[in-house]
Amino acid sequence: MKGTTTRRKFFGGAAALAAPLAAGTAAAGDDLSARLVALEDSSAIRALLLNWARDVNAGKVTAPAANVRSLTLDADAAIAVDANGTAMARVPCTVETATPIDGNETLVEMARLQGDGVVRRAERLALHSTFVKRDGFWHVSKAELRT
Amino acid sequence: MQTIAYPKEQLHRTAFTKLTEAQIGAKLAGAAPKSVSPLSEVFAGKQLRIVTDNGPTLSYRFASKNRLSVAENDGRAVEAGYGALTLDDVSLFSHLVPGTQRGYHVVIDRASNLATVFEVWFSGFTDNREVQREIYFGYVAEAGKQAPPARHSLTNRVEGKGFHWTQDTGVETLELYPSTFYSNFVELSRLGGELGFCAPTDYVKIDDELYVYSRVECEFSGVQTLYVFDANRAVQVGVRLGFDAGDALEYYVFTGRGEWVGQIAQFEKFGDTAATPMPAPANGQPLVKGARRVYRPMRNNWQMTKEEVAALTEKNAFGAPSPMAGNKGPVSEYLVGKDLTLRFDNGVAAEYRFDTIDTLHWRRPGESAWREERYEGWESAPGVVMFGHLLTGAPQNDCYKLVADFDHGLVTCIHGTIGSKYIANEAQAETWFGVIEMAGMMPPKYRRHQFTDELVGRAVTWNYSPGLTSMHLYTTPHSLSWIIFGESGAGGMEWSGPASYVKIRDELYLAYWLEEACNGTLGTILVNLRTMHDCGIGYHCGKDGLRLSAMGAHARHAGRFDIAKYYRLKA
Repeated sequence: MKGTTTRRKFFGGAAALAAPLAAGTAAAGDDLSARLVALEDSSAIRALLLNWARDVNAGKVTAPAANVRSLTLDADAAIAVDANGTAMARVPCTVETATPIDGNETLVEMARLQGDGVVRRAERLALHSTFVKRDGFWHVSKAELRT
Repeated sequence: MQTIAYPKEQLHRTAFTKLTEAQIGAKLAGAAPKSVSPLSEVFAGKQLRIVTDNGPTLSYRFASKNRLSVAENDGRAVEAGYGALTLDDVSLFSHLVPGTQRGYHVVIDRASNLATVFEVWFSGFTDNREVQREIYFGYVAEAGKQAPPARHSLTNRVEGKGFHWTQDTGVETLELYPSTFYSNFVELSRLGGELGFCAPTDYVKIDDELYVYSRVECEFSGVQTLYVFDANRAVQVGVRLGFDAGDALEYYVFTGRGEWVGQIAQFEKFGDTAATPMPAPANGQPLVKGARRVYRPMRNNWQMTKEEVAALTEKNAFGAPSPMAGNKGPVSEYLVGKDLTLRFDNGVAAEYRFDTIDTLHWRRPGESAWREERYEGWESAPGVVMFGHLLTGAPQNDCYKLVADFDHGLVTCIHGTIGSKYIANEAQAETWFGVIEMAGMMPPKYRRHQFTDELVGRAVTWNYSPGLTSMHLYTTPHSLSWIIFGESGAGGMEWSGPASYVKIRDELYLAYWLEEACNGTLGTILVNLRTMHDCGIGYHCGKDGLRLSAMGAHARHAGRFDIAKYYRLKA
């Protein structure tokens, strides 16, 4: 089970770090250092996700699915960082889509002309993302929406 | 002696001259607005400096009630003729800039010193005759005084209103405002009031009673009609600028009196009093000067030649689902197994055998061979079935759309054909009244379904499928307008076409509309105002083939204008 020894999971903020710091033993030194690195990774990924969502909403990066109009992260991400420089995150989100209505009927064409002609929906989905660390910085390598 | 001046062609059929820039320049030379009413002298002998937020600063010297000089942005002053009229504290004046094809219509509220300036110009579009406009909001600068913080503004507060107007010129119109950037107008005196038309329109709020209305008859004459009106008292002062069907310059200021004819619903969220401004381009560039949303259906390249129509092989009845049928009702089995004859007063008859829920056979009386057609039918009210089918092999790609009332033995047929004298793939329609003959039924000899004006003035919304909702406004006994809603629920783009209404039963009406000079479709619906649901059939001939398709939508009442009285023939 690769994940049990090399993947560090952080759910929520820095709560996972609190107990080892309180213990303060010498043996915990290496572990503390590792945890600090992991915490930094986790924080960096969390910030990256927020920026990425903002960029999706601004149309600066490709959305994880067609017709996505906006994507709002609804909670803190569950992040798992791997020692091999990759990471995964899962976060519930609300996705608003605007799917163009098919057809060449007059009403459809007129609606398109005035900037409408779409079906708007809002759905609660889960954003599954993978990340890779290059040159000390995390990058989104894949993002997909799942039910 | 004929008392109603019907035009040789209605607006959508008039071939307005493509005036050249030079022709327009010649017609505008030295032009100043005329007026039937006495011009206002409110500005005579005065000077005004109007500052606008994102537009010009205009410095005026009014030499008299009809001569002024204007300097744009502190440039060289030029002299021009002008005309001014007042409505209480609000004044409207209009002038052209000599040597140009530009001019200004200026609205000043002398109580607040706020101003709205419409810069107008010709030769700014493919159709040189179409008046272009840009609206600037500002104020009258006063020495030693700060600029007022308030401004007039675009608004949705006019949406839903309607008036009957009579100008001092004698011109009589019905003007309905079901949208935030379009409006309907019915030319009662100029064109006989048969059809209503639509045009892009600006609505500006001066205060809660006073508004500015400005429409340009794009895709028709290109004429602009702008007026300030008082919604309470139904009075107006305005200006009309453009070229009529004979290419003569119409440039006059007018006063008018009106009658408030009603207020239909708005569908924005409560509290939303915003306008629906033109969206910025997706590329981030600013809007071009004069930008507006205009539906220009005759520029969409949908027209076909007679040869192209004759060569069509793709003919489809009730095929692929359409977004116009997302809310259609269940297909009815009512007709299955029935043998009957539909006999119409014009001498046409057809014998029918309904084999299954979607297959019928028909023939003319006396013929031995039956023809098979695919059909769909819906029982809109107990005993009333609407169904339709193509007439395979018919010379004009004919179709029948029928409403049969088995409780009363009556039937009405909308006979659709493809090809008008104007456009080869445009649908046309005629209405036939008749009876049902079948075993066990004795049809009436005199009673028939009848044309009605009971729908005239009504507005009904139709939700066809998610994201696709429009509103019908039954503007005259012979025309219908459809309005597209925007994301906020505000009324948006509009167009209109000839229409006809038949009463089937109380609260049950058969309506058709022709998208003439639009995309050629014949839409036919059976409107049930008890269930607030329609069933219907679209009939269209385009480059992708001949199509008969189901329609179906959920309705909401949106109100009614009290206008049917203006269309009735009187002694």
